[in-house]
Parts: sequence; structure tokens; C-alpha cells
Amino acid sequence: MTAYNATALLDELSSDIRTILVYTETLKSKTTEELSKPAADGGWSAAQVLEHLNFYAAYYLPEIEKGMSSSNSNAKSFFKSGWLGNYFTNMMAPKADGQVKSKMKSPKNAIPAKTLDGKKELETFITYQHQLLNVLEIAKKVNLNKLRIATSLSKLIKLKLGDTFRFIIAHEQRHIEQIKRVLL
Amino acid sequence: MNEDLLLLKQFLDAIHPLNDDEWTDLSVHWKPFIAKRKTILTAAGEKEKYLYFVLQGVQRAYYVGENEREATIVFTYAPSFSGVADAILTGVPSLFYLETLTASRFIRMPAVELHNLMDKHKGVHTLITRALGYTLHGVLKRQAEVQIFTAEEKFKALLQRSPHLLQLIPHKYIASYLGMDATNFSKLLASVEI
Repeated sequence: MTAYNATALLDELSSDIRTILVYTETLKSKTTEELSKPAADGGWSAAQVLEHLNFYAAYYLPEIEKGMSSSNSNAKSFFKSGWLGNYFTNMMAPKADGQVKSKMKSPKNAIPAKTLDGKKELETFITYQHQLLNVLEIAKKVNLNKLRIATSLSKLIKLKLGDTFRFIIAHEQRHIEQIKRVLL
Repeated sequence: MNEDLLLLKQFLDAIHPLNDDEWTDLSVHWKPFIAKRKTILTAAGEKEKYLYFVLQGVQRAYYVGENEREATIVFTYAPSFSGVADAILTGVPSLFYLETLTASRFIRMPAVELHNLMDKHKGVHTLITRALGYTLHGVLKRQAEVQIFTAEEKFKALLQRSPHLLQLIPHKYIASYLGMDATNFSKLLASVEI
């Protein structure tokens, strides 16, 4: 499995979030209509994609915070990704040119409603990204290998904290690419 | 002392020399940090967590206004501080994005530690106040330039301060700093005698 310098990994993930924030800055100038317009192929609107991401942030952020506050292990300088974490992250992550590798279906509970306030979803999304940045900073004092976070799929399927971050952020990157395509 | 810290010490000594105790307490908090080009170091809305000391590369702080209008506020490069200064000192969320324009190498210290040391050591407090004074001097001077200089004069002032920037970074950022669009900037560049 891939080994990372823990701090460098957290810095890189933070920088990925900030790159997403630079993009969502441009969404602030879109109208509610533009944000809720379905994709040309009938796929999700930008508002729906944002709600989908907010759904996951609303689950993972408290789980991570809870995990980190009860963790008493010391930070380790390295992080070794687990096989499942790697698998999930690689499945999600868009390629360098923004293309996604494989189409996926979202679990039923994560499928967004049709009518949404895109402006509100955007604001919520941005707030979550700032929370995520804070959590990534706090994680520098935590052992990314030892702390495991239950996935939203099942309490029994847990990922190492480092993989949870990689997975969440790859998932966001994937869907940000989707928004870019919808608003093209 | 490693070379990076030595460079920092020389830089600080020119502003306000610290005594040995102060320097020892301060120097332990600086950690190396490298970033590829176009890495966002701080996002607007985020608290500034670090004070950076630039060893290599060029960075810029920029503001994004209504309708994605963008203003480049400042460029930083070695040897100098970087980071969103007001946010470091006040703890308020940054109004600006800070990004690297070229691959960059820094040492940086957590803003929290800086605050602690400013409380603990008078010398550190004086140092930061002076450094802030110089920064404010630059900001106010630029404010005057923005209000009365023509585009050409602003450009010449920038070239005088930072002649190397023209070779190092894409011209669109210089245009943005001067408040011009890129096309007008290349016309200006062609017409100005340097």
C-alpha cells in the first residue's frame, strides 16, 4: 500500500479543498436558475450535486470530529493507506484531465431532491469545506493509521482516518468536475 | 543553525535584532514547507494558520469580488514574509486567496505560536510591530499609487520594486496587479521603454 508523509498528505488534501473553494467562488455569481438547471443528459443540476456532497459532509464531519476527540494515540509521521481506502479513493478520483473513470450510481439515501435552493446548498457546501480544512489541520496531531472512521455505507466498514480524508476529497473532486460539465 | 534559519535571522536582524533567548524560542517553531506552483495556501474565508518566510518562488494574494472580478493585492518572494498579514495578526478569516505562482519553498510557523511569543517576549513584539510598520508603509504607498498613477506609472513603480517578476510569472497576474486587462497590458509592455 502507498506510504505518505502524514503532514504532507494533510497539506496536499487541504490544498485540494482550497482549489475546490476557488472554483465554488465562481459559482457565487450564478443565478438560482442556472444552479438548478438539469444537465443536458437529464443528470443532476449543480444544486443537486452540491446537496449530494453536503449529505456526505453532514455525515462524515461529525464522525471524524467524534473520532479525533476520543483518540488518544499520538501523531505518526507516516501514513500507510489501507487496501479498501485505496480502492475507494482510486475509484472516485477524477483523472488529471477531469474525466471520471467509471460511471457510478449513488446509494438511494444520497440521491438529492429535485427542487433545491442552489444558493443555500452552495453556502452550506462552502461552510463544510472550511470545517474540513479545520479538521485536516487538527488531524496533524492524530495518528492517521490508527483511528478508523465508519463509512456511510455501514458501521462495520471502517476506513483509516487518512483514507477517509482521501476518499471524501476524491469524491468531492469527482462531483466538482460534474458541476463543471453541467454549467459548461 | 541551518541555512534557511540563518537567512531568516539575517532578515529579522535588519528589522529588529532579537536577543539569544528570544531567537531560540522563535527559531524552534519554523518548519520547512514546499508547494507546487498554483497551490492555494490560504482560501478566502479561512483563518490564516501560518506566518511564512519565503525561500524560493513567487506567491500572490488576490481578492475575488462580485462576478468573479479579481484583484491581485500583493506579490511575495524571497527573502520576505508571506501569509495574509491582517488575518495572521487578528485571527479574522482571510478576505484573500493566497497562492503560489511558481514552485515555492518556505519555512513557516503557526500563527498561534507567534501570538504566544509576542506575549512572552518584548523583542518579538517589537519585531512584529516594526515588520507590520514596513508592510503598512508599502500598502499605503501603493494605495497612493493606485489613486494617482497612470497604468504606465504603476507598471514602472512595480518594475522598480520587483524587476525580476516580469521574467518569473505569467503577465496576466501583473496585469491584474496593475488593474488592467491582459491585452492592454501587453500593449503597454510593448510601448514602455524599460
